[in-house]
Amino acid sequence: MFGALFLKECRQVLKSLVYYIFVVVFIFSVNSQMSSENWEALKEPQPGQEYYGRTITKDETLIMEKTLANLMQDLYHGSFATYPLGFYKKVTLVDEENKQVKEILERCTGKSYEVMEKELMRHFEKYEQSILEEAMAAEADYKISIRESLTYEEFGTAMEEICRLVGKGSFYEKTMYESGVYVPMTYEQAKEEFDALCSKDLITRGYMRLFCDYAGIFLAILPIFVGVSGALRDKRAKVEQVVFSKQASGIVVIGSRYLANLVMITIPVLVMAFLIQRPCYEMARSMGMQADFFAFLKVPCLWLLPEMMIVLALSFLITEYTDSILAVFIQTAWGIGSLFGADTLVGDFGLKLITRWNTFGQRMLYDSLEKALLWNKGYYCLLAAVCIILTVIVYERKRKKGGTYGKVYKTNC
Amino acid sequence: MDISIEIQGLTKNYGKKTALSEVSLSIPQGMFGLLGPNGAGKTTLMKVLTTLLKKTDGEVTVCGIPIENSRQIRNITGYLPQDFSMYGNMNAYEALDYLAVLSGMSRNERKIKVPEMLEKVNLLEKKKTKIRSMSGGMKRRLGIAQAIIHDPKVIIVDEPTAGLDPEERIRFRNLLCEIAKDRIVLLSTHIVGDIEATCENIAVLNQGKICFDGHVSDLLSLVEGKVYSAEIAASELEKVKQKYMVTGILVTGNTANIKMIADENPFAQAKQVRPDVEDAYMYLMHEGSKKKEI
Repeated sequence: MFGALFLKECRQVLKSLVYYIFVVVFIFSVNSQMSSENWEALKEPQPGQEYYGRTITKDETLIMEKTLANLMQDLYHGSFATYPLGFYKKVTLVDEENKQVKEILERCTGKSYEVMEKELMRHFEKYEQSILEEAMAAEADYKISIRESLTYEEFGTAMEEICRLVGKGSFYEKTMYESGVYVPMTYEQAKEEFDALCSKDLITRGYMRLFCDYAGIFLAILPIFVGVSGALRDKRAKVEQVVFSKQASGIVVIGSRYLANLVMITIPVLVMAFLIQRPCYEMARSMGMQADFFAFLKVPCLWLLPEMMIVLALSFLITEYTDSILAVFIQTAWGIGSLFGADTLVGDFGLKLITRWNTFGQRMLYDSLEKALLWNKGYYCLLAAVCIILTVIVYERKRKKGGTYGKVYKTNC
Repeated sequence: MDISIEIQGLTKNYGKKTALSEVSLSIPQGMFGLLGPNGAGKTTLMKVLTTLLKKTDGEVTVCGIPIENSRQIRNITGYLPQDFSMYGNMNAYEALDYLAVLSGMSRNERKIKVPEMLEKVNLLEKKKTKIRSMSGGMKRRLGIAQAIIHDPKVIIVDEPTAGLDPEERIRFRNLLCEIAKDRIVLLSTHIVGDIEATCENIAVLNQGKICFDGHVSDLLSLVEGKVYSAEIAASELEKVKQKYMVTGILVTGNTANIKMIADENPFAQAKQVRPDVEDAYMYLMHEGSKKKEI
């Protein structure tokens, strides 16, 4: 029954206007971001180049300076971004807690808050904040000098205190600040990166991570509409009662619909991945490099499938529970929050819905973050399964309540 | 298999409101009519029988299976809800095939049964017609096809003829009679003509209670000798309506031919006539009251 129903549900998705809008918007959006690659990354770095790109630093002094600079900015703006369970949460501390943060900051830097505030204002005044590049440069260049005697252990303890005050999922967790401070690469590092791109990423895998970065942004929101439309279909067509009265269980009905929607959303994503990968693959081959032809399947399935699973599953659950389009608003807010909540465009996975990798390559960094990525993706796969089980429970409860009632109910309730 | 529905002391409450109160019924094989005014609790009873609503109290078995075994009950039951509809973008064949899958039928079974059912409900030629383009009658016929496609022992149809034109209504009633062989067809309606034309056994439900359960002839016997027809001046009509239960009026110029229910001959020119189910139903609904506006 499941297989037959799944195929019928796929056909139903293919008849949906919302689905075609999803496909067109997705293709247009991703294509607009990825159509102008100059393949610089495929050129082997040469000694004496002016710039080799950026990499995560392991320099403890730099990590401390940038993390404290981040803390100073959060304190100045009066709010702290956290991601408990992957959802963006703006934390505002009470006066007493802000005082404690100030004390920690002063302890680590050996300066008073007022002095640091003046330095911060002087620094940012040097840049034109209305220009994006200038604002980004101001952010990148801003750092706070630390107290000379401050040890890394002492700094770690101070950050643990900050985490206790602002809660879980902040930038002040060890795993976060140790993978979130960037410095320019040296020739040796660049060469090592290039070699890793050729040998470990086989070129196309690295390029597909960049594709997943852009696609992931749009896939945090676009599938919501497909999911909501699919979940409201019975109600719109007034077929709830007749479907409820049939033998098929909630698991079969909801499961086949969910799987059909997921497969139908995944197909254009993989087709797009293939088309985007093609010039990269051909370029690599023409340059005599070995490239992974199946990267368009491997990377998006790891990177994007869990995201599509949770977005679709949550839209099913919210829609089934509320019989409304509420999921569109809730999940769009989540997607946007996740997008703007990332501290960096490369890495900073945590439990964020959108896992950013806005660069071609950086295999060495990827290796150091792969475990975090797998945790993130595993978490969302599990959460998606939970959402679908809850959707089935909601569906069966509605089934036992008869969906809508007779005139006795309508006139008396 | 025992083909009957046994209901004992069935009660269904919606919060504080009682929709069904201590309903007891025995429904045998064949067509069975459930009659009652709007809001009597017919749909609630149908939904309890199709496992779409949980009963509050009482015992219900369908073909010997307790109603609590919803999965088994759904296997042997076909349901045509009051406002049957399907996805507008599907055609008749696709819709029936989809619902057949939900009924657990295999591909081979569906290949045979879907065209067979469409033919039975006279929709085979319209198999490519989209649901959104179908008339109300065509939709109801498709509805009955989906209710019987898995060969259920019990078919429950909730007000199936409401909104149909006379020709469609007759065609639909005949169809129900045809499929009632070897199974139970429980027809719920507030249209007395549907019951009169199709059912021998009926129950009348009013305000959540059974006020009649038996053979149509037993219902008719309630008003035997109490139905009269007379020709009166049209100007007298209001006065007569206030005094008697008038079940039919035909006004022609200054005169009106009326049909009424009275315990004894109301006036000299009135003639006793044979009662029909509508008269008996009206009498039952308004029993004890001789001044009713109809």
